Amino acid sequence: MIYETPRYLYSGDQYLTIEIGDEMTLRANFKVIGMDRAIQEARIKGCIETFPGWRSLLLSYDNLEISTRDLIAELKRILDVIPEVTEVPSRLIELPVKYGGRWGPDLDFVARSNNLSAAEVVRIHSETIHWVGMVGFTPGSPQLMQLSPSSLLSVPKYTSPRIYTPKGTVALGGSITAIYPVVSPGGYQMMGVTPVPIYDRYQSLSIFEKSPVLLQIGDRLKFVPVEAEECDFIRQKVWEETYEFKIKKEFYSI
Amino acid sequence: MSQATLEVIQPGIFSTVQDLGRRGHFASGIPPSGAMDRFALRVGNLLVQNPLGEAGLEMTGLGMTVRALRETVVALTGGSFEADLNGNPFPVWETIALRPGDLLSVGKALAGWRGYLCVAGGIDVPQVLGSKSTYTLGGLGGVRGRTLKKGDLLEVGLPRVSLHSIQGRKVKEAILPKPGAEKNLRVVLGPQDDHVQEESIETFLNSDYRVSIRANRVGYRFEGPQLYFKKRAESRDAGLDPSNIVDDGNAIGAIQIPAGKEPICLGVDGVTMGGYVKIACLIAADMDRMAQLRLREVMRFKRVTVEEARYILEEALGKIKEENIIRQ
Repeated sequence: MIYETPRYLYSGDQYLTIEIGDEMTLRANFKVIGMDRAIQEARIKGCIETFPGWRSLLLSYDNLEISTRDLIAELKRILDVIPEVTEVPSRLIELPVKYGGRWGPDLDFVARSNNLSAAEVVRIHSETIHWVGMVGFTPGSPQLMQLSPSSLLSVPKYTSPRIYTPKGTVALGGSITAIYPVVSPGGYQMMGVTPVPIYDRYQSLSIFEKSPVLLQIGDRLKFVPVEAEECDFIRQKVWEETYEFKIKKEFYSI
Repeated sequence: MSQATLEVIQPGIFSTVQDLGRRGHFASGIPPSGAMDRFALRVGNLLVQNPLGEAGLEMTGLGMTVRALRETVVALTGGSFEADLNGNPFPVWETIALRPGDLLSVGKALAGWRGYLCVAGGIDVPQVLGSKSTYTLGGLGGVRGRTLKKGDLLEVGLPRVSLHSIQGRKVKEAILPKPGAEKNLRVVLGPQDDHVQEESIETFLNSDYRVSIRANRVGYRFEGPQLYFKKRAESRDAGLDPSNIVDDGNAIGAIQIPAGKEPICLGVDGVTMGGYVKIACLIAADMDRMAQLRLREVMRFKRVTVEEARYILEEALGKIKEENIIRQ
C-alpha cells in the first residue's frame, strides 16, 4: 500500500523517518527517489543527509539548528507538492558472477524451492535485470528487485543466520537479491560470487574515486554468468587495477 | 608537520582512533562512526586545547599502554580506569605532560567502559571520507581501518598552543558524569512503536534490562522480558514474523526488537538498514551513557519527548566550555 500523504515518524531526536507506504515496489521506490530529490533541492537548514530506501526516507538533521516540529512543518510544505516521478537516471551495470559450486552452495536449494533446475535458475537470474531499491546494512550492499522476470525466483532466508559470508557473495532471500561487499554474517541463500568489487575501501580502481561504494538507489544490474577460469582472470585484472566496469548511463521510467 | 609521538606497547581489547565521525555516506551504507562517548572526547580535546572534534584514542574495557617518543600533553577522559605513568597513579579528566620515554599504562575500567586519550595537536591520521574515525567493519579511517596493535606509531599534529600553557588543566567535578550512578537510557518512542502492543510498551519502559555480552560499537543487546506485537494486516513484503517490517533505514540509536526479544540498540557503527520493528530510539545525548555501560549492568529505558531530548543535548553541550576548566 502507498499512503495518501507521507507519515512523519520520530527516529530519535536527530533522525526522522518519512514513510510513504509499506510495499517493496518500483512505484514506491520512485516516489521515495522523487521525495529525496525534493528534500535535497530545498536545502532545509539543519538537514545533514538523506537515506532513500524502498518505501521510506531516513533524514538526519541537527535538532539544535532546526526543531523537529519546524522540520516536519517545512517537509510538509515541500512534500505536499511533490511531483509524480516517472523517469529517473539509472545506470545499467554488468557484473560477472560465478554461479554455484564452492561459492554458491545454496544454488541447488534455490532451484528445488522454485521447481527448477540449477541451470534454469542461473538462466532466469542472469537474464533478468535487477533494480537497486536500497543500499546499506553493510557498506555498499545493494538490495535488488527482479524487473519483470520470466519467472519470479523466491526462496526462504536462513532460519538462523550464518556467521560468515564471503566477500562478493550473490545471494537470494525472499525475492530480493543482495551482494555482500564485505565479509559479514548473512541470512540470504548463497547462489554465487562476483569477482568484481562493489566496495573498495582503498578506492584504488578509478570508478571508486569519489566514493568507495559502486552502487546507488536507481541503478540496474545485469549479472553475466562466467565460469571459474574467467572468474579468476577477472579477479586478476581487479588486482592489477586494469579491470574496467561495463556501465551504461541511461534513464529508466515506469 | 606531524611526528611519531606515541608508540603502542599494548593495544588493549578494542582501541581505535575516533573523532566525531563522518557525514554524507549513510545512503551508501556507511554509518557515521566516531567516538561512542562524544562528551568525553570533546572534553578531552578542550583540556588539551584542540578543536573539540579532533581525533583521540578510544579504549574499551581494558585500556592501552603507550610510550611517549616526544614531549607532549595528554588527557584521559571517559570512564574511570586503572592508569599509571611510569608506575605512579595517573588521574583522569586532567592534562598531564609526557616526556620522551614515559610509559603511560591504562588498565581495566573501574567504572564506566570507554576511555579517551586526547593528545595536544590531535592524532594525525589521514581523513577518509571526511573523518579520521575508524570504522572497522568497512575498514575505513584510523590506522588502516583497524583496531590499534602493538608497535603502531601514532603521529600527532601541531598543538595550537604551547605545551607549557596547557599543563595542569582539570575539569570541574560538577560537570562530570558519574558512571554507574545513572541507570536510565532516555529514548524517544518510534518509528514503529505502533506495531507493539500497548502493554508491551509499558513493559519496555518499566522493566530492568541487562546489558548482554554482545555489546559493541555496532550495537548493544539487552536482556529483558518478552515484548508482543499487535496483530497486523498480512503484508506481502514484510516477512512472516510480526517483528518484521519492510526494510527501512536505521537511525543511529535505533532500538530493534527482533521477535520481541533482546532489544538491540544500534551504536555509531550500526547497520544502516534492517527489517525489524524499531520500538524507540536512544536520544543523541545518551549515546554517551550507553558507551559507558558495563557488560551485565542493569538499566532501564526512559521515555522523553523530542523537545526534551533537544534540551538535554543543549544542556550537555553547554557544559563543554572553558569556564568549566580549572587551572591548577
